[in-house]
Amino acid sequence: MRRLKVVLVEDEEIVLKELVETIGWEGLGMEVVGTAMDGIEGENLIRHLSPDIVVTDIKLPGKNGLQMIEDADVTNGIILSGYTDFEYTRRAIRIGVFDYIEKPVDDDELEATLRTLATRIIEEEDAVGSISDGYSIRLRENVQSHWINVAIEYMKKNYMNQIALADIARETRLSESHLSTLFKSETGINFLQYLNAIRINNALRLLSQSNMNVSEIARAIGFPSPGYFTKIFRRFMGKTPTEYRNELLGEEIADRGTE
Amino acid sequence: MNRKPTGTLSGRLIIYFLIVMLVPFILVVSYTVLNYSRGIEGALRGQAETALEADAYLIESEIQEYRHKAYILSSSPVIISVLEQDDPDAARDNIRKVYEEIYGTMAGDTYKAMASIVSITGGVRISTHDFPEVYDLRTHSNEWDSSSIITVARQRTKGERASIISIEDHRIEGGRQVLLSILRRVFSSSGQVVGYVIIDVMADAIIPEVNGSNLFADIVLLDNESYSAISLVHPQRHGDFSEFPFIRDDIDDSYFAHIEGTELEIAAASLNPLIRENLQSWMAILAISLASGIAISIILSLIFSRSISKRMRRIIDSMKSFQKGDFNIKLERTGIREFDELSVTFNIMVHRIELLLKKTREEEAKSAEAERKALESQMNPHFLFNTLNSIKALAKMHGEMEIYQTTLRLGKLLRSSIDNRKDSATIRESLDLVECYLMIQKLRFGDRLSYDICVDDSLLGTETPKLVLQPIVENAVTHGLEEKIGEWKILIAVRRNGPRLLMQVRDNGIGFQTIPDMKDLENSQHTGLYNVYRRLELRYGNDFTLTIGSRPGEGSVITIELPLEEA
Repeated sequence: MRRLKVVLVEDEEIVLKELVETIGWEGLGMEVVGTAMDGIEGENLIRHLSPDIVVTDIKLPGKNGLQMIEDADVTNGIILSGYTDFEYTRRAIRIGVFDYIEKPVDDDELEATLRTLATRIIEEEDAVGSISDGYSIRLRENVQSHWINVAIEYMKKNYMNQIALADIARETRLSESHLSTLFKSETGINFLQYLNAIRINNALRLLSQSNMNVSEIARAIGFPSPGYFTKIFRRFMGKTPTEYRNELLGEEIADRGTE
Repeated sequence: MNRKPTGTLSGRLIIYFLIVMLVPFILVVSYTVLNYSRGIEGALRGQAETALEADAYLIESEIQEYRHKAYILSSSPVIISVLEQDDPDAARDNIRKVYEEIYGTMAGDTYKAMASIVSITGGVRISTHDFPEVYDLRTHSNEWDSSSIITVARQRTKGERASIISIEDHRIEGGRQVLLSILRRVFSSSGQVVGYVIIDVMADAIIPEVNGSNLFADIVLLDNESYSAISLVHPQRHGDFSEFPFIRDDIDDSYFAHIEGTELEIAAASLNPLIRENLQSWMAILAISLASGIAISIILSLIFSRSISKRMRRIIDSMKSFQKGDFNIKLERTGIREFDELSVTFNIMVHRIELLLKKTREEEAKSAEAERKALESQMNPHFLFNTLNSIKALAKMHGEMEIYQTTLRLGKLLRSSIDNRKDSATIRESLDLVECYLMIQKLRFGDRLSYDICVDDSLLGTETPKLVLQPIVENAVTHGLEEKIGEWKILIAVRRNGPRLLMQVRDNGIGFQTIPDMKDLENSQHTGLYNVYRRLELRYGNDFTLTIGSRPGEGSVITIELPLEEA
């Protein structure tokens, strides 16, 4: 199994050092690939290294932790917060922060959180791997549950907009938690993965059949930013949209060449 | 500026009392004086004179009547002849005729008057009643033997044929007093005095007829010739004028009426001297009662005003010391309702002001506290928690695991008390917090402090309001254990009690001195306990109980019972 790449961003040297040195990264199947002590440096590092997990303080010089995570399209962030108010928390959840750990950081708690996150990442990769062969994504449709079929239909129609689990729950009149469990058991992947899979399928179509650039495609299929689109695309297809299009073009050229 | 004169209470009271006393006194006195001077005496005088004249007339007519009868008898031929003969035997022969004459003349008046006939020698003696001894001339050896009217007659020589009227004969005859006697000489045909006819008029025949007796002190029949007098009111009183001084007294106080045809007069003593005397004693009584009234009113005023001013003084003193800030003033009951009302009102007022002041002070203290807290909260939580985080990192780097753990626990405790993002916590979280707290305390107190947590595992996920258990444990440590010598034990139990959740914190500390009332907790030192109570009340209303059990010196148990909220 591959080691998950971790980037740590923390402006206090002693704290950063303690995290690097005393957390049992190896035991968690992780590896600290880089550390930064301010937001800008952190963002660059993340863009450059594409880590699986980013552990960051909120208050950072240059750019705060939340902003950095949002700008760098981090999908699995863990926030170490001094004292957080409710507004921060809500924003953190929206931009896909996995968890919050309050200072003074209980290292056991942090390790437990990292372990959970690692498990989820692996599971997601496995799930994505099970529906994608690098060229196309196969999604289960026409499942047994009527309500999941309704949910899938709704998602297929509305994927270009912001869809939350709550919207589907309202549509199907199921509770969010029940819907979430049922969805996973019926389709093999969770709701967000399924939605993203629908979007990526559409992205594949647009990449091959249109001249729209990556930004235009990201917007058209409901991703908030091209960076995030790229990230999700790579998770499903193992390459960036641009690489994918280039490959297609290369095949075409190759095809033409063979003709 | 118009200033009201001020005076003492007693002074005023005396004045009022005097007014109350003097007004009727003056009225009575002036009424009496006016009435008297205006004419009680004058009116009495007129009335007296009239009455006396009427009486004089009455006596006169009586006298006239008897005088007339005496005349008839003295001129009766039968009587003359009997007296002329002066022979008892001859008289006896004629006695029937004589009696016929006498009784015929006297008619029915024999009960009023007594007619007697006596011959000059005393040989013939006839009377309507028993013949009076004084007229028995046989026993008269000389002229001076008798003081009877016959003696008077013998002394008088002029006017022999006229009737002689005398009031000197005061004898009692047959139990009845003679008031006056009328004598007439009986003459023979030759002109010799052969005997006397005497009519004695009885006092009780005349006196009841006299009207004016109620207007006078005394009425006297008097004879100006013999200077003798007899009282018509009290006939046993008789004698010369010296017996009745008023006859000679100041003319103002006595009245006289002449009886026509006689030398007699009636005189009356006016009641005026008595009235005057009465008036004087009346005035004296008035003066005495006035004087004693004044004295009593002064004494009463003094006593009353003193009793009032004593109580008033007490109230004023209380108010003064209250003014100086003594709030322990409490006015006692005085026994006078108005003062008691004043006292009660005053006490209530003092109490209210005291409460108000207390409240104000408390509020001042609270706002000072709030200010302090506000200042405190300016200490940036970020700074606090980041610092703790640095300490923790440092501790871990140096392998100081106790510092590391303690820092983490301290962080958790601090966060729980300032974190306002959620107001509920699971039992697990609550117990974690309790342990954090106790572990930190153990760091301070070591093995002296031991604790045990006993929890029904199925309840770990149950939600309760946050900060319930930990403050109670903290309360137990700070107020129950820290003052106690020896081992400190805390037992925390969380279990089901039917459909309800039971949380209990037991310690072996000093216990509560007094079990505080929940409403009073706010003002006690057990602020933590009060906050717990408030939190529970906010969530459950009345559907919870927080009970404090305590045995001073042995420990306390705080039990909370809540509806069970299944997770």
